[in-house]
Amino acid sequence: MNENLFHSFTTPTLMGLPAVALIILLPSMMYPSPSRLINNRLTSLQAWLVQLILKQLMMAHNTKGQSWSLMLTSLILFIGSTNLLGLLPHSFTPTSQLSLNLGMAIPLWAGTVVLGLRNKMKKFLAHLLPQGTPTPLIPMLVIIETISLFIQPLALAVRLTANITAGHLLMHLIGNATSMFITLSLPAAPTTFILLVLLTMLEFTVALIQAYVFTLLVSLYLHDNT
Amino acid sequence: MLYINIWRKGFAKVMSDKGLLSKIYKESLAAVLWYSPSGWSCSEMLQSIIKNVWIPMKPYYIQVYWEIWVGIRLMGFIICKIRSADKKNKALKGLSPAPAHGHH
Repeated sequence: MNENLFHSFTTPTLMGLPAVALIILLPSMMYPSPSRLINNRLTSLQAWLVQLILKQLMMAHNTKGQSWSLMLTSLILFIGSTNLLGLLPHSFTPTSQLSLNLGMAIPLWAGTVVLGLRNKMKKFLAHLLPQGTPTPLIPMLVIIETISLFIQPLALAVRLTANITAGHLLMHLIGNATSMFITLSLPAAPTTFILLVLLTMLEFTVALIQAYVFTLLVSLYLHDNT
Repeated sequence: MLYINIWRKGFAKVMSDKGLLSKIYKESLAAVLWYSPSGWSCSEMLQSIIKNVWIPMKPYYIQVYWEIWVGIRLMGFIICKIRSADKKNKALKGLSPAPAHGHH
């Protein structure tokens, strides 16, 4: 039984040392590296999945953008596997921490911005003003577009944090309610249990969708700047 | 502990036998610096990391992801600013005198 509702969001420590580094490294140990020409079933399935993700993400990019394939594929696999592992009971989800998500979002977003400024300055500056804007509105729109540009990494990080945290919190609440209803009012317990099962299924999809959305948005920012 | 004891003995011998690096001292120094009880030495780990990670990924780290390093520096700058602001805030709170009456 958890001490309180937010116990699962506190950074775990092992004898006083932060265990977060080990938890973040864990998903990478679960992916077997293909070492032969014809691999076993699991490695072949993994290779098929990676190829599917790669095709979906990188088809719209030019050569410059496709050099980020490794980064974006690693990103989606890391976030997806971390989110799914966090759905195990009593586990810690690193992507529920805003610090980690900002640590991923800011360098990637800044990388795309610097890439755009270096290689396609005119195109980058042109994005700050939508096409067909009336002349009196131009100054205001440029300011609004600049603010929206700087909000992009914050939105990326907060979206992922909020979705994962909210889902886990809801699961805790409904799980606690179910266990309380078993003792207080037995007929109400199956309803909350069914709700919990449906919510868990939703959380599985949210875990994968959020990983896809994060990576897709980074890919979109990259596409705008290459 | 065994390696520390070997090192101590070697060190004592060197101190007593000036001008000569004894075999015990060399071996104990090598044991402390390079070899761990698990048998997987630091030098082997470093060579493995360089061969399997650095050499294949070198063009990515140096050329392709150059802009991401700029982003990492920016993030480090933001973290430094937040931490220094937090420290200043805590220092100011510590310096300011406690209120004489409680809050109503």
